[in-house]
Amino acid sequence: MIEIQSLTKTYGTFKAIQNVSFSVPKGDVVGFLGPNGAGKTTTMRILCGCIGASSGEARINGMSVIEKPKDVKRGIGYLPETPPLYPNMIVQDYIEFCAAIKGVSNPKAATDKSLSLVGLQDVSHRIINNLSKGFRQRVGLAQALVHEPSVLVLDEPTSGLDPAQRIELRKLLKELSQGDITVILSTHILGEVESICNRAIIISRGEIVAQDTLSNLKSMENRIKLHVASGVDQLLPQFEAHPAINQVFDKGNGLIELEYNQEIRAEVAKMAVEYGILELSPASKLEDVYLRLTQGKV
Amino acid sequence: MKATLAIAKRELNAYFDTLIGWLCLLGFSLISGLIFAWIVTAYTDPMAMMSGQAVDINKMLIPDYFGTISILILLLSPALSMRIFAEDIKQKSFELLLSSPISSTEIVVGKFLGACAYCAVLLLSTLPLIIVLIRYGEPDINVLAMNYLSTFLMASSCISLGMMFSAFTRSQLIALALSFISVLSLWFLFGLSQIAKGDAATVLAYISLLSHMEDMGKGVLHIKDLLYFTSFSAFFLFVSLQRLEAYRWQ
Repeated sequence: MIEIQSLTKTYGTFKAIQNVSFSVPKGDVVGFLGPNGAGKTTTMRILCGCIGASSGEARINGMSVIEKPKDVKRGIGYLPETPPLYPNMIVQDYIEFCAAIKGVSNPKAATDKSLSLVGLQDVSHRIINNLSKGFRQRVGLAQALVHEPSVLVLDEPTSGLDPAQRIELRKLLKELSQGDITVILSTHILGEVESICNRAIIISRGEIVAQDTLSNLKSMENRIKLHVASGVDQLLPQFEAHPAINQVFDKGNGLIELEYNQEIRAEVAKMAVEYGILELSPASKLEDVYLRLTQGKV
Repeated sequence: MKATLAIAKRELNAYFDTLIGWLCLLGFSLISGLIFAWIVTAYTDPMAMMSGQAVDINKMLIPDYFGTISILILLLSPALSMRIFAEDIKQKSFELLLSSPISSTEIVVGKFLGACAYCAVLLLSTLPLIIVLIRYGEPDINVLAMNYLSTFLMASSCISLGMMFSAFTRSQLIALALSFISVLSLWFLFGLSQIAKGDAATVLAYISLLSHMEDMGKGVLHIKDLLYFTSFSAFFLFVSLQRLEAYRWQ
């Protein structure tokens, strides 16, 4: 598991991140969201022991990154935004080298396993420089997985990939997340978070602005979606007259969206129950929450 | 130790993964062969032999040959060391090393050993010439071994110096220029020590790399020379190590 407490990193007078705290339980797949320059990469690099923090502490599986760097790094697989590749090396040799420096006892066997996991057996004897960007990203992922880490840190793993490669990589990440592995991945693509992650952490201007499950984050926007079997004409005037409801949107086919200023979900359910409630759920998209939290607008 | 050797092996292979490694080896073999031919021709020149001076292979030919290829390696070393860290930093492969369970010392030592191994390959390329010498002359094996050792120690010292510059920049060109200026200065110091007099000559001779090769070239191994070369390399490796640590904490 990952625990980060009051992490601050300053470059001169510029604070890249300040007082960042969050924790990711074992086995969770967490999306780390934020605009460019929000501090995602800085946080991830500190977490992986690439750079030190100015203050605060990062712990992986209960061990401090600063106090036990080698033990911590044995349990982490890190894929930076630009995969850390040696372009002139052959894929197989590169992964074997990674396995050797990561303390794997049988680098050859670990390499074969890792390459088959990311589907690179067919290109294992090719020079990295001659591979497409999608394959290079996979090589980067193979190096992050070669020592079978319990925590996987991925910095924008799908950036620069075409849609097909993106879907493939997303599928691969989903497969990986089925196991016991804890994954934290940063991305700009909110759809990616919704399809892979069960939780999200949102960072803006170096500070954590929200962290919760995806459904809880979505319900932060005070907007609900009601789907009834009938009675839309009767319900609409009631909702419009209600003081706690700011706006009512008739979406057609029995679908109504309500924006409220205080908790009214139980009341709405009571009002609609006689018309047959098909669905009552948060209406906001993760995108709305993200935009409001990072830019202050929806 | 395993990780250090893995880094050293990758570093050595990296020279042969690119054209520059093969070109350096080819260029060095060609030029060292020409130097050998030139020195042997000069010493077996009938005019010179007529002057009545017998050619002593061990005192003249071998030290002259190794002295000349030392200068060749000295001039070549910036091209060998420029990429050691600068390339990793620029192509972001440095993140792999930083996020792996290895210490900065293991990274520095591994990379240094890899580059030294390449220098050893360069020196080994002169073996066929030495075999010719053994076949047609009577060289002292001890003198030959000492000359190889001194040239290798000088090469590794130059590598450590260039490695330090490489750790300070992501531009291989800047690393090359700074190391080239530095090794040229060391060469000039040797030249100055030859023409200077008194204490200045002693100080200059002590600082210069090449003057520490003179006795070893004659087959005599002084602890002070060995200590000089090892402390020279250790100092620049230590500075590289500090730079790496600073990189983590910048």
